[in-house]
Amino acid sequence: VVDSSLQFREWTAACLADGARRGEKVLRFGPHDGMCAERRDPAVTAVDPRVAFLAGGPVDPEVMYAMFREETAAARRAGYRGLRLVADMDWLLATPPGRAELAAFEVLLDEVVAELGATVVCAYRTEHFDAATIAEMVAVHPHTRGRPVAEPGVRFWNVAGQVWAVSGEVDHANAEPFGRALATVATRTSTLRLQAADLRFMALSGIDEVIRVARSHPHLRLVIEDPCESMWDCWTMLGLHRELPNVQIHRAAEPAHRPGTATSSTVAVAGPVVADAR
Amino acid sequence: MSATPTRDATAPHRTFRHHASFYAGSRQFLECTLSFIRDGLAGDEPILVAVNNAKIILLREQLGDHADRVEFVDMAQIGRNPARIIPRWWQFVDEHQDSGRPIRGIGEPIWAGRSDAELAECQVHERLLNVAFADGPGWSLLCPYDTDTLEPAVADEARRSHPLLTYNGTSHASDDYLHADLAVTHLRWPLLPPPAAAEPTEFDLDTLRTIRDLVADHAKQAGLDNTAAAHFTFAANEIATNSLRHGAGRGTIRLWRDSNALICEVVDSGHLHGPPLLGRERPPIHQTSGRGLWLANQLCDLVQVRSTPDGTTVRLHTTRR
Repeated sequence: VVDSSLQFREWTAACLADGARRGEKVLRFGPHDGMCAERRDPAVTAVDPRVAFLAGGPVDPEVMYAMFREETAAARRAGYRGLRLVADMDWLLATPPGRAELAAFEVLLDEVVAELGATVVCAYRTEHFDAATIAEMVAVHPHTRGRPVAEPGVRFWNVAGQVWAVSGEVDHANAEPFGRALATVATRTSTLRLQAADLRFMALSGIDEVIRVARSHPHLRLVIEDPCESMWDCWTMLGLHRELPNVQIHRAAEPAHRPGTATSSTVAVAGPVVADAR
Repeated sequence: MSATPTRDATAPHRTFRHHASFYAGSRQFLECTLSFIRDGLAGDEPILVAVNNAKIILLREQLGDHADRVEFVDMAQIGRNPARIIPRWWQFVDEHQDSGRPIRGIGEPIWAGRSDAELAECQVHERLLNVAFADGPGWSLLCPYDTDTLEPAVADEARRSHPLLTYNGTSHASDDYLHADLAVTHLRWPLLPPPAAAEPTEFDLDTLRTIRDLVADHAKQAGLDNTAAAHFTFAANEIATNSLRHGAGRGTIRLWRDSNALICEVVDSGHLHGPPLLGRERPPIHQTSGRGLWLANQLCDLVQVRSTPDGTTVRLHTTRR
């Protein structure tokens, strides 16, 4: 999260230099006219992805993921240990995607980056992206540098393959982006493991998002590992372990005082909401 | 009060027969309950008795071998939060209504030693029983009241909440009974004001997380174990979330301790429009409203809900065990 151009230049230079020291191929993405210094540096490949890969059009996630795979393979063939990229996300501004679309792109990019063992830094400038967008983008990156105006309170990232992790707290304030991230990865797999040991709190709003994903992907097997005790208890109290059998909740240590709390759960049909009934 | 005719006079096994039975001491308790149980046993009726453990032991001794034909549950456990009692009766009646036999139960939710807040919610429970089973199925429930240990006002309210009164084995209609439709006034019942030392903290969407931290801190200071603290915090979060959704997007929270409980009060400017049994019946999966209050009832020892056009107050109580 970048507050000033000076700060960004310093961070970028340090990050790319670190990558070069480690034997990684270093790339710098950004709007073409914002990378004068990098374009002069022979050690850095400076590219405007919109021009280089997208023919001037809007972001196409599949094209970008394919590009990452090709660049990484080429780097390894050339003897590099891997790929390091710093992207000034201002490159998106010419044809900006919606927040949900951008978040989906970032979530799946995390999977590609984890698969390739690459290091990718996505820099969002506070002067060009609104606080809510930055908060949601922060939520779908495992690490953050800089201080977002609005802290999302949750992080969602790829561990490996179809293993994902969530940390922080999910409540009414951030359940929607959490649900979007979960739904994004749910569309691409038949089994999804969600490590939740570092998820300190999951409100009913977050449980609703899990329900929504499970119901809209009935063939998905969603395994939630080590959720907080209150989520586990509410899941079983609500009978979701019976109603949503495609969701399985695994706990390392099941509370001995709660017998009969099965670990899976299904669904009913969407119905009317009783307004103001709390 | 004028008496409302009870429907059960003409069709005893097709309507809900809700009796209050007044007794003084153990001997009279056994007299009134044993005759009720033995009548049921004679008709091979399913019987569920929900009283405290000491009384379960007494009844078992008296019933001898017949005790095995009666289901007993500890009211101190299932009725710790009185809002969980009606679901237990629903379950019992559901299990047996297809048998074609009359069904009967004994439930004693009120005993000396209940706090004022618990007593009030038990009295709400007694009134709501008439709503819960107003449309059937028919069955008989006897609620014993110990006049030796309870205040006279408690018996007075029992006469308002029970259409049938039983004295010395004889039942008659209560002249004071408030028909179910008129009795659902509990959302307007007053609450004692919070102590002056319980400072209000305002919250909105941006401070929801801070509110959870505040509740968790109080739970820790009150000596709750990790599970109870997590449950209390979850419940408080859901009630506060209700304020965000229905109470103009903000609310006020107060926390304090009384002699045996940690209490969390959430106040907002919304007016609760829900069915009388809201928070007692587990909402189906597709229903996104009503679950917060239902879960609060499962996770807390007592939940008090009051609402008027001026606003809604919810108090969560949890007791250190």
